Amino acid sequence: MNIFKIILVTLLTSNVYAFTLNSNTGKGFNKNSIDIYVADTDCSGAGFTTEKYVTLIKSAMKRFWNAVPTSALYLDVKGIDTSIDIDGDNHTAAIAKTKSNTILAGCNDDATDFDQPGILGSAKMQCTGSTCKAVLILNAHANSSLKNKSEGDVEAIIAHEVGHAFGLGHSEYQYNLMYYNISGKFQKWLGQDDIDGITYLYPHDSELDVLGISLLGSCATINTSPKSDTTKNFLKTFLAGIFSVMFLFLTLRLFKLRDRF
Amino acid sequence: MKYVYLLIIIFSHNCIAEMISSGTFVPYLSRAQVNAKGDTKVFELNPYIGLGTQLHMSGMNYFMPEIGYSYFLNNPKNIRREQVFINYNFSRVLSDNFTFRYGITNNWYRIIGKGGGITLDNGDSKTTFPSPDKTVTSYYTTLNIGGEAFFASRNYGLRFDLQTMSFQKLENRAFNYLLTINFYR
Repeated sequence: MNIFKIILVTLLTSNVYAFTLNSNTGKGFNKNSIDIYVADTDCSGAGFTTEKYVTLIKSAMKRFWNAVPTSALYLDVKGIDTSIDIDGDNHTAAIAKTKSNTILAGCNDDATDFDQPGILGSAKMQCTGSTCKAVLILNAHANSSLKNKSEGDVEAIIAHEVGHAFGLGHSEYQYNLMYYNISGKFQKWLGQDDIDGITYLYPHDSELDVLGISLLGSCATINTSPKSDTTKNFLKTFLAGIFSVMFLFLTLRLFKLRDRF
Repeated sequence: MKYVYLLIIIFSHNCIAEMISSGTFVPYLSRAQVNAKGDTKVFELNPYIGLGTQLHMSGMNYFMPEIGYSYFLNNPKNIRREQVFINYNFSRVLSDNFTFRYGITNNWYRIIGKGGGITLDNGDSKTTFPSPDKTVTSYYTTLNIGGEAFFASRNYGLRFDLQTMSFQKLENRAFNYLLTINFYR
């Protein structure tokens, strides 16, 4: 009985926090499809070429953020934008060169932000009205410890910074991707905090999201429908589903397929 | 309201039994990481309760609409999570003790933020990050497949439904499951 009580208390109480957000002002892009461009910068200090950087970002998005069915967000890695050079730029200067509603990825080998080898990368998001843009920069300084990391870890580091770039803050649990430190863990996939974070910022916000395909296209970022609307949507979807099934059933009956069904 | 009456008339004609189900809902089976070694989620206790009915269609085939609710027990301090389900499942009786189940489910996954700020490690220092402060609902649909085993009486069944999320996209397919005891009256 005591064991049961301990389990119950453990399950019903929690001393940790879930996901957090990146900033108070911007709680995510106002769209569910965000393009990522890679600036034409030298990443050799980080241990890879700019072309390899593109491959790593693509792989990281496929493995982490683009693999959350409860979220509508899709991060599309477009490739290298040769017109943008952020070499020597800090975050503020780099974000000024970023196109609206996109994320710019780059490396930096001489900015003061990265003079400590332990800082592997960082990201900054900026929103003005309904328009957001963000930049993520990896540490390509000569003493960067990024080049000593495995490819899987580098993907996780990139995905972590992309998480900041689209609006997430840190998580308290070590096993979540958005934990502040990659050391001492193997980040195979997202943790529940990460899943909840991306779902909170970019939900499938249409009750017409039948079969997982949004019939309304890209919608508002956060659904804050009043309770009455949620109840109404619930009833509408329930009745639509019931009538669809009944329609199928009556159609089968009409064509005398019922006995063969 | 007339549609509701119409539904009651249609359903009462073929209604076999009412059903109450109780059990656990496990989202993101084998996908959500649970420790630093990279192990993923296999089981979680999120109480589920469902109310449904069993409608005879033809031969050994039944239609089993059900409304369900699951409350997530391991909620952190700054959010609460819950899920509402509308299950449109069919079942086909394969033997006296077992039925095969299939269908779809509309899911409402709700995250209720409590607001505030949380101070966490950030590089070599600490930063206060804002906590979610709104209620957000994500709607998604799953394709279900499963089975139900009956014991001493046909009134009690042990049900397992595997739900496939994002079944139209191979690259981000993931699974939930429902494990419940069903009582038929």
